[in-house]
Amino acid sequence: MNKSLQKKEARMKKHIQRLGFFFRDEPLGTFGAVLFLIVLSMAIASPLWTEKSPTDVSIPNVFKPPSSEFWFGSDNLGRDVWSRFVYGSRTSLLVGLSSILLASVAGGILGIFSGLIGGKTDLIIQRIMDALLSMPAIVLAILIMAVLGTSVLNTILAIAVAYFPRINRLTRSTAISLRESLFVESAIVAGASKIRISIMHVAPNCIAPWLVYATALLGTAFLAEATLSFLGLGVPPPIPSWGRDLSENLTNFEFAPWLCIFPGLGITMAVFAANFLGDSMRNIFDPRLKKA
Amino acid sequence: MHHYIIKRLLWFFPVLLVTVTLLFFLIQVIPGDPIRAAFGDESPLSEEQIAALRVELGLDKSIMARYFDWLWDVMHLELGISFYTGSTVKEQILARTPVTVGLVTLSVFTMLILSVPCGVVSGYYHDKWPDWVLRFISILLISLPHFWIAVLAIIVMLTVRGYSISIEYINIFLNPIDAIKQLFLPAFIMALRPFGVGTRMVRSAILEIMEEDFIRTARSKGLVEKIVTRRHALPNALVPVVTFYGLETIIAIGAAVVMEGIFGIPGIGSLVVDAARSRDLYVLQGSILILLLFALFLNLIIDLLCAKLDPRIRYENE
Repeated sequence: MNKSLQKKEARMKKHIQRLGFFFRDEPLGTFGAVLFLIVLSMAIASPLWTEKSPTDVSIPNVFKPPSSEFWFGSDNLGRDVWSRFVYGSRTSLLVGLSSILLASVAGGILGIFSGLIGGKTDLIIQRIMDALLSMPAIVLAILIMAVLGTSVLNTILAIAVAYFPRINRLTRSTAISLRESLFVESAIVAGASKIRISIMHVAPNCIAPWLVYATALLGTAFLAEATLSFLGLGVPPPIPSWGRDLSENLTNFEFAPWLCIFPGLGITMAVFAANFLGDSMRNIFDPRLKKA
Repeated sequence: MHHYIIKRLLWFFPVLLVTVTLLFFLIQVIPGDPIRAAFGDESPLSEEQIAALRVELGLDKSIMARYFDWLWDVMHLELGISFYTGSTVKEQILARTPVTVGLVTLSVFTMLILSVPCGVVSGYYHDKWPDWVLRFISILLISLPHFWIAVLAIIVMLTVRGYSISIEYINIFLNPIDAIKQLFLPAFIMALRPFGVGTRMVRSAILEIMEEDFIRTARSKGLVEKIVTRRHALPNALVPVVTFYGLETIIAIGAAVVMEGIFGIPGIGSLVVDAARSRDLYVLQGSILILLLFALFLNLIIDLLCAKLDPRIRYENE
């Protein structure tokens, strides 16, 4: 009992030490992590950050400049911009995280499958990926949104489809290099099935590069959501979304410039946090790139 | 080299076919009917009119028949008509192409001029304080949503300098100087993100190359630094850099879509966005097809350039 407690303590110490190393070696990554936690807490505990509802229309309070009552002012329908800012993080994180999760899982599985099987199946899958990769991701996402119609779920789908070929490429190349490795060969000799090899041997070794790339893509996904919503092809009203809030108030900027500044600030904050985090993740997991 | 060129050119067509096919089937997923999707539930057309339109557009045929019709039409560059304006898609695209080409070209030049020198300079100062500053600036540039910067830039320009957003756009092939003046602001904003990425890219390419064995060998046989850089480092650093800027050009096409929407530039990008909003099927299909052709063509050029620069790529594929 005592021994296991000691062990636990030692492990905790090690974890704390590692965290300390992270803070010391990656000051920018720490900054990103803190910023990301702030955005995350805004999304999870929105009611703690603001008491007002983001969708309550109040005509007497139209276009109020920032004040102690309306921290970030109010918009053309008298809605509180600060609470739309806080609740906007929900949309951004929900769409960004779930689309990257979806893209990573689908792209990862297909990549490992395609890389391990090889041959004609691989060739066909990769030509389809070529076609998907040849269009700019945002154009592909716009196309899918036009086909499916605007909704939160469709936005997630569109961004996931636009980015999953990239993740597929990455895991495929990792899987191909692993296919030649000694431990996979020994597993084949030992008579393990293809499914067992891909789940037990290949997949765990794909996780590090896959995680790094997924984090790096997270910022892009936030940006894609904001762009789609900005173009009126993403999250439909009245759901608060930074991109849509920005575009809805474009015509009012002359007398209400705050309406154009704060939503953009929100997007920048989320993307900034994700990019710093992704950059540091890459440095930690791939020390070869540290210099670069 | 000839073998490689021929092989690469032949490879272009299957990829084109797959892309065109994919585009067709992606659009066919539209739930219901493209005519209903375009006009909504309160369609001004009567049932008979819709039925007549369906026959006219060939929508009553099976999906495979429509697919082969589409391939045939694409080969003849017949891209259909707009549900709203009634003009042919081909006409609209032809009128709008020069603007988008001008915008993307200008933006790519801007990012090259900004990022290559910055990357080279920072390569020499790596791991010192300029490293931190540059890393910070480049991530900042990567993270800034360019449509937000565009909005802020328009606000500042309107209030401070009395800048006005042009209604009419000048053809870049007819009057290059005025067109560049007009497109400079959106092109510059589009170039900011690739400027950030490109600086890091060029810098790491240089750092990596300078540590290679063949550079050490070249130095140890007594070559002057100038020749080491020009004959040995540069050609090897160029391949990843060319690939990078080629891909950035394709991404710039995507950025142009957004930028044209904000600045009201009548290019292919705003055509795509408008068609997507109103679900104008044929315009959407046609305009995205043109963007795809640009992208595939760029891919082809990148591959050929890389093969020209690096004999290893040529021989591997022969």
